[in-house]
Amino acid sequence: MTGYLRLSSWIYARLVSVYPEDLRRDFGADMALVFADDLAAARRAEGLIGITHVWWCALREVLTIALPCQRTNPRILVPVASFAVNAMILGAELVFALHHPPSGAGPYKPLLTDAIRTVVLWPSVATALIALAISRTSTRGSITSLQLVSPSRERQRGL
Amino acid sequence: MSKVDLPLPPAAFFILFALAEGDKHGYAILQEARKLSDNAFQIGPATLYTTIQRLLESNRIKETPGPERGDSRRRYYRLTSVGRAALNSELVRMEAMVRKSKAMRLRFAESSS
Repeated sequence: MTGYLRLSSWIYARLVSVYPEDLRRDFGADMALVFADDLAAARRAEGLIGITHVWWCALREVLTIALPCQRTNPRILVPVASFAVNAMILGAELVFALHHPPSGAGPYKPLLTDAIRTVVLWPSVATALIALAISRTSTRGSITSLQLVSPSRERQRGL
Repeated sequence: MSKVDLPLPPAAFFILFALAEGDKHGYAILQEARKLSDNAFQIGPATLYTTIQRLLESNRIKETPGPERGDSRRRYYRLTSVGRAALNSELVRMEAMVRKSKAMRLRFAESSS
């Protein structure tokens, strides 16, 4: 298995954790296995376009199946939705670029895809990373632990 | 025969259809469903297993031991009699719709001429 297939499988295995608990518990490993098989077959048949297509399908399912179950959990909803949408934009851009390769000669002409990348994509990726960082901080963070731990600690300290 | 809710959702229909010819594991079902729909029906792992979960709950398919030399990581599924009846009902419904649409086209052709 090549590096990016392994990376893709690793990312998908993380995304499985967003799905409803019963589906994840009963079929999580099978989902990851089917995704890996599908990705490898798509790579053999169509190369990068095949890989992009499999990812597009997987991310669409994250948006339509997994995230509606996370409506009440913004700490998961925000970063995963941002990641899925950004990755889908990136995939569409990649497929577009593969179908319309830029000509080597001539001056640089900005394309609509360049504008999307500059104005929408990278700021969105940054937003997603920030949201993820915030969610991780708040999960491990001081507010929750203080609320839970402080009373006993205060009693221990005799305050 | 128990009453079947028709039409079946596309994912359920293609999974039952894919299992009609024999036991299959998840990825084989996925491939067969695509083949049966001429790649028109794109299904991913989450849709596949969400539907498999529902079909198991409604007793339309059941888990079955795989072949002896099969991949031990994979789970195999088999169509039950309830599932086969549901698939047959859906195919009969589709056939009737096709018959009706053909009859209507004939009528349209007659009226336009």
